[in-house]
Amino acid sequence: MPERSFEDHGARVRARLGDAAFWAAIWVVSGLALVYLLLPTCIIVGASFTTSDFVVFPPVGLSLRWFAKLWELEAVRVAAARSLGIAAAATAVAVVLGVAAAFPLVRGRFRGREALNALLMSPLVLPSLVYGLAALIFVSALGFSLSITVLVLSHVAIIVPYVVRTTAASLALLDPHLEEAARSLGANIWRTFVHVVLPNLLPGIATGGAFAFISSFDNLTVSLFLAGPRVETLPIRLFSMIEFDLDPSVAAISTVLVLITLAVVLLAHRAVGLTRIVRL
Amino acid sequence: MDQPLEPGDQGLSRGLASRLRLWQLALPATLFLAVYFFAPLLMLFWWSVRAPEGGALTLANFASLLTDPFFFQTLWLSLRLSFEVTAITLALGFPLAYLYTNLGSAARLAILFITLLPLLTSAVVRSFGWIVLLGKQGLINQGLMAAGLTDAPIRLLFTVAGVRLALAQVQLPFMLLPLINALEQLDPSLEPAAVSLGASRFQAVLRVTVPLAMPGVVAGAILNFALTMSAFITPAMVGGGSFIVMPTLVYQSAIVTLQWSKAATTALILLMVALTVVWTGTAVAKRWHYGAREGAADA
Amino acid sequence: MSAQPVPDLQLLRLSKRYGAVLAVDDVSLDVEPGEFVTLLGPSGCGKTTLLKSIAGFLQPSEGSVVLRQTVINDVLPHLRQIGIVFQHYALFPHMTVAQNIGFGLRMRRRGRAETDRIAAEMLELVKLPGMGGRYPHQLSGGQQQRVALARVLAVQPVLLLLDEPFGALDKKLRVEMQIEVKQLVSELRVTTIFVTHDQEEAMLMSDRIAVMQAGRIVQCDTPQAIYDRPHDLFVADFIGASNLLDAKVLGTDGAAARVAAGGTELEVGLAGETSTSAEGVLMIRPENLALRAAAERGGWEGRVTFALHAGPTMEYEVAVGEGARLRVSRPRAGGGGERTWRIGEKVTVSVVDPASCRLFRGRWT
Repeated sequence: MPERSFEDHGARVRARLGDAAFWAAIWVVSGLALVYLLLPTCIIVGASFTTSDFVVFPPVGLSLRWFAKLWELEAVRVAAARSLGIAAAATAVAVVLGVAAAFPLVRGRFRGREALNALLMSPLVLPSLVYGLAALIFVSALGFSLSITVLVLSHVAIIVPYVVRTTAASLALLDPHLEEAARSLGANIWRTFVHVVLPNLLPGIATGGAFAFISSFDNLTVSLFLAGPRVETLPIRLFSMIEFDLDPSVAAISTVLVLITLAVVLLAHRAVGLTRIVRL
Repeated sequence: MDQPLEPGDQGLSRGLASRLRLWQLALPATLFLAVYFFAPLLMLFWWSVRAPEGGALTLANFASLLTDPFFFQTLWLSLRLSFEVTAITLALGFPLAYLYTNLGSAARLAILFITLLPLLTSAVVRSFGWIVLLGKQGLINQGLMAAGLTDAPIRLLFTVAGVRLALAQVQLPFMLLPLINALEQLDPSLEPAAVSLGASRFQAVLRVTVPLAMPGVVAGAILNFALTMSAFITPAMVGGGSFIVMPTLVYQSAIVTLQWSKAATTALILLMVALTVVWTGTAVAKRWHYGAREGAADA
Repeated sequence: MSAQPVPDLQLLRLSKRYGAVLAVDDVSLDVEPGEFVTLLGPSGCGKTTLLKSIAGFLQPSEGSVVLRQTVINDVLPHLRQIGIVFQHYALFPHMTVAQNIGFGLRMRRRGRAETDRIAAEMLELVKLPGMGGRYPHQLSGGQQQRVALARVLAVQPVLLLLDEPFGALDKKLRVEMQIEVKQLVSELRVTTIFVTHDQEEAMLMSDRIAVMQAGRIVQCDTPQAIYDRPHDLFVADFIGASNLLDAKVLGTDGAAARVAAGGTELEVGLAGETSTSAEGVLMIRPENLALRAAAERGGWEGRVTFALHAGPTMEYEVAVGEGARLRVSRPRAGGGGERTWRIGEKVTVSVVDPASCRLFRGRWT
């Protein structure tokens, strides 16, 4: 005879308590983790609205004073413009290289495909610290002096995997029969690409490009090695301001950066959907 | 098998199109990385095995570092710190990842959002946040004093504990995503099956969900370990000048004291230690595959 | 005087609401010990929601679930002793077959020796002796199916729930498994609730079928009763093939009615409707129609538009006036001198047994 566990009132109550305790623990730890994830960012954003002359959270009063000051800080403006330019250039190159490389990865059927994938993804696996040093030694040993071009190219190397990955994922989802249908209806390779393939790839390319752009814009480690004394990117500027010249304008700059990131994440969600990005 | 384009195409230069092979599209990226990514790494390797004054190959650089007690201390600190941080991110991340798989799409989106935002924010900004948090007037000290747990603000900034806290937060998103992926791959009817057979939710998670997610969890953990070992910005900013980890050593040797050989050697040792952990971890994870992959395939 | 057997499961006015949507709408059902009841309906009819509510994975919005006379609404699923076989078997990939089967026993803290013994017994029962050391991925679909069954039977559940378990099998294997499973649960006298959208399967295996639509049970009866005397048009149309003709009601007499359909008058059976409408829909099963030469009277005249040798039967489609098409199914083997007809031939379609046709009064869209 089976023990009738559903008739045992004591067991039922104990079970409900146990279950509740389990879920309470899960929720508490998860809540902690979520707060932990958000805390530093919130602190900085909050502190950027302070009226005081030093960075403090909770902020003393609320004002946009430090945001207004941003425009006056020439060094910050220059650094921001430089970062933007570098990121834009690096992203452009990375997109061209990455999109092209995605096709053989997804559609190709040659023997070295796995190796190609590993090769293209390797900058993601290698610590940027090691790469920064390697690039520095390499460039100097070859006799080149550090310049913006050198920096841009190094950014390209580390951001190209993002473009390849998202483009390849988008391409893998694209039904190859669509292209065959277009070809059978009379479109040639180029037109098929422009009118059938590209529009469907754009969300993937855009997302990869956005991630690439942000990675370049935010990058500190590699830039520290390769920027040289005269080239200052925004993260480098921030880094030295925090070290030597700390006031809430640093928080204000950070807030602007966070807002940009927010915009990119929202964009990525509209384009491709956050759940799909996570699976990459 | 290559896929040549039909020679009968019009449009884009006929000659070009007919000679273009699919794999050639990967050439620009491959060549670029070969020149600008792999060649530098080879150069790095070269600098670690050549004597500082130029000349023949030597392992002297490695020898001098590995016999330096200060170097070992730093290496050990890096290893210990990375291990602790990985443990913290696992402990925090797994329950959150499990909760994620049990929530509806709106809540999931919110969690993903909260995860991706710090992930894409510059490490400088996040470390800055921790500097403010951990400072003598920071929120943590404010809270502790308000709760009466301490009279004077305790020193959190520029300590190992502070760096540990900050680094764990910085790495948490990187741990969370592989965890979520690992859990999402599982057959969703397995837990209900276990429950219907008499296992409480907790027992079902322990005996079914966790063992099956383990390979993915371990993969995520070792990857994070490697990333944490090479993290530069957060230890530098939150740890201050007195706090040296391996990445700091590399940076100082390269930029401050301009000892490129030493820097290259340190970087390579860092890489090799990280790789050893990855390989060992992967080997351990493989054995965890429950003979589900082994055994004759006789069905 | 023997005692009335107590139903193993009673659903009392069960409802499940999701916002404004009623996934399960006021469902009541009694399942007797040892009975095999099927919940049958198209996807979205609420059968899976109902199953989950019985198992305890969903909380009903209203009503009660009663197991052996105990209300189990607030009993957690792992205490309900209700066994479930899932659509894709849900075997634990990291455990051997024997470990899978022994899982429930281990959860109940049975000793190692006892667990091993019972696991071996179960394997014999499902005709997989000696497979205990294999892993699920090494088994075929049918074998996994049996392990899933063995796993659930090992703990002697009060109730067995089968959630479309044969969906992943090919036709021949499916029929084999249907027979095997039915034999097994009958032998062991396990009270079973079976969920499917496949009405052939339901007809084959069930003691009773509960046909569901939009969250409600529209009819719960033996397979024969459902087939011969469907309560409404939905059930008539869902179970088996049927011809549906617009009909005018000429008069009723108890459970019979006189109708005119397509120019022919018939005396047919009246489905239990309270409608008094003068119109209705007449349902005639294809095997209840016969074909005769066009010259003969007493039926509908038409032309054969489709003729198929379908194994044991000939399936015809005949176009009769005003665009109506009748499906006719005639057995091929056997005497009676019945001829086969070809496409294009003119025929008369007549009703073999008018009394087993059913009229559904009222206007149906």
